[in-house]
Amino acid sequence: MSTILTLASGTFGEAMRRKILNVFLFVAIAMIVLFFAFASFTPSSDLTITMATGLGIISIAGVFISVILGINLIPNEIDKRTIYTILSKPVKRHEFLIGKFLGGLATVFVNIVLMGALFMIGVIVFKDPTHSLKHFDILQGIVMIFFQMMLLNALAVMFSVFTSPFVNFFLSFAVYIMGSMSSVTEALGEDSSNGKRSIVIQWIFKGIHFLVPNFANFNVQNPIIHPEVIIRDMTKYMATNILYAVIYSTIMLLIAILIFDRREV
Amino acid sequence: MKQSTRSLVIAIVVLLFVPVVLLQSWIDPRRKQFEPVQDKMSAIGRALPIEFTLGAATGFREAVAGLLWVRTDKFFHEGNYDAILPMVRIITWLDPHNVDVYQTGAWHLDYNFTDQAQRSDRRYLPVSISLLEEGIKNNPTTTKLYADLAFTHYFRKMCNYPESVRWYTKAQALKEIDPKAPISVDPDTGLSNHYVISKETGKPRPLADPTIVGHGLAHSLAASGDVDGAIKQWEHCIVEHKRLMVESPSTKSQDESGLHVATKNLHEAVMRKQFRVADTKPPVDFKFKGRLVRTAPMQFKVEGSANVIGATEFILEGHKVKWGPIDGARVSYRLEDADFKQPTHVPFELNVALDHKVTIMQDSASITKGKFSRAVSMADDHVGKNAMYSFTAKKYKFTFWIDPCDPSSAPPNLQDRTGWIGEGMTDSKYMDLSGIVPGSLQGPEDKRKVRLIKKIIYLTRDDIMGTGEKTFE
Repeated sequence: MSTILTLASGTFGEAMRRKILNVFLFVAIAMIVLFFAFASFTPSSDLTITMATGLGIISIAGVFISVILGINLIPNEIDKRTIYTILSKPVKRHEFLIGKFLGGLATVFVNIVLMGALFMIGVIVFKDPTHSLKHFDILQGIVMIFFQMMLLNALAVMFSVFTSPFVNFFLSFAVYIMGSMSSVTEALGEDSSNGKRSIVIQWIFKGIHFLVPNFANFNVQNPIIHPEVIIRDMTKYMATNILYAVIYSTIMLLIAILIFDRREV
Repeated sequence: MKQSTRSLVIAIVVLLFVPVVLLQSWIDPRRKQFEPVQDKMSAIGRALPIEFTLGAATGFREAVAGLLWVRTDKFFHEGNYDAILPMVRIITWLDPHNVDVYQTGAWHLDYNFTDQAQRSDRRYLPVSISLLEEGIKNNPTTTKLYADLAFTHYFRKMCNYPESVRWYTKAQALKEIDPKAPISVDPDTGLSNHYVISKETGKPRPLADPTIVGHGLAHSLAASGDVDGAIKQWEHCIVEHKRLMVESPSTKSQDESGLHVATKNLHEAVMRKQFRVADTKPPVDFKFKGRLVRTAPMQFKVEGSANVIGATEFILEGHKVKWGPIDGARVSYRLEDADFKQPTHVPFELNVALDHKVTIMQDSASITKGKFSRAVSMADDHVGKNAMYSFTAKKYKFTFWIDPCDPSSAPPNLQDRTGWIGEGMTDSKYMDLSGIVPGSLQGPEDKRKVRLIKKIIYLTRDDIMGTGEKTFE
């Protein structure tokens, strides 16, 4: 366990020294602009647009950070041949992989926390002086973004053990887009076309729907942006999705371990 | 890794997909609460650039909707009104909980499409009503949209007071309910009541604002002739204001003001109910005269006279009243295709299916010293793709009417003599007991038996397009 933590800590330190923080800087600037950009709207509209766009910016930045980090974690070590030094020590391959993943995840976590904190402070100071918003709800949205990114990071790490970063970049994004269209795959998997869609096609889409990671599960922004929308079992829904993210990420890592174990480095 | 360990890991991976599938099956029906409309993605894809569509499809719907709303604001300030409608359509598809967009979109459809004389293009009204009804279906617990529909369309634009009462009543009936209450389905909206479950536990309580919804309902009830209903509603508002003054300190001053207004209106309604029984007898003969003078092609002078008798002085306490001719009443007029039937539902689509061949012009004139006269020109809005007055039909119907229920046409000092629904008003030639207000959507059966003064003149296209002065009576 200490080996994994050491590797995670090293990966985290290295990742934070990279230009990844520049993304945070960019997001911070974008948000500050955002807080003043919609002043011509009515206060409720202004807050709605700020919230929607702000959470969107955090989410988009999170996607890029997760994918770019995830696709490079393993190939970088191989390209720089540092992996030889590491694996020559008493470090098992699965420990190396888990350590790298956790280090990357910690980086994603810190970035999302920084962006989220900046966003919450901005909203409270600039947009919600009367404190009509429930700030805990914003936090819920940010937490869900983090778990969505955890899943995406695990996916990118899994692909990174057998593809080049270039291929992985497009592959991860393709799966992310597909997984974000859960409603579409779910609808195509149901027999709602009065028998026009063949049962084979339905089952293919059903398979895609259940086996491709469903990133859309984590998009809970709507009731946060519109506080009057009332959602049943929000806590249970969030807890289930977090469990889903943890289990699915574990599956990704186990597959990565199986492939990485047989890979020649 | 040993082969046995490897086999074990593979088995674990396969087994872990079981909870994944089970969890996803649990999540799927609940996810719909967060992404209400997805079946319009193909239409959105055809209308938006790829980057917006991709953003919308990948979970950034609200952000895309927000950015489009910013763009829509720019269109509004540029005066590019036609570009706003598709944007409102797409935004409400992307984010059907954005109540502001429904409200602003409906307002835009109601008021911003006008002719050169700022008369609204009433062909857009059914579209606007569809938009608000859709908004209500998607946001059944937001009273704002019910109130907008009740007030703007029925109380002000359509003068269909029973419909106004219906929507205000729905808004007032909205209550937060116990989260543990069993799920039921609202027969009107088709939505299950999980949308109206309160985040707070506790007793059910009304969601409606007693000033906006409560007072609105009382006025609508009075306008529809149900004075007893209006009195009960004012009493209800007083109770609600008093309750909120205790429970909601942040709105205390607003409720104090609302309480003052409700108390005054209740007092007046009770007295007027008592006095109007006798004051409206015998009915006043309005001796209505109305005519249309063509001054040039598509240009008319609407003129006439009416014996408008009301209270020139009225002190409710003590019932001190002096009757005589008064100013302030209005006569409405409307020109439309002779065979035009007001559609009850025009869906709000990406391209609004407006019938550009239909001609509707509606306005009103003030009756001062017993006479009214107003010039109406439709010539400037006759040509062009979006012309309001295409005059493509062969025959037209021009209707004058005085609606005794419409607060903007019949002020209270006139109603004191003509009554709640025109029971104190008659006309030897033009009394109309059909209860049909021109241009109104067909609502539920109108039981109030409203008495209108209504005069209809039929015109041909040649009558409208002809040159030289000609009078039509």
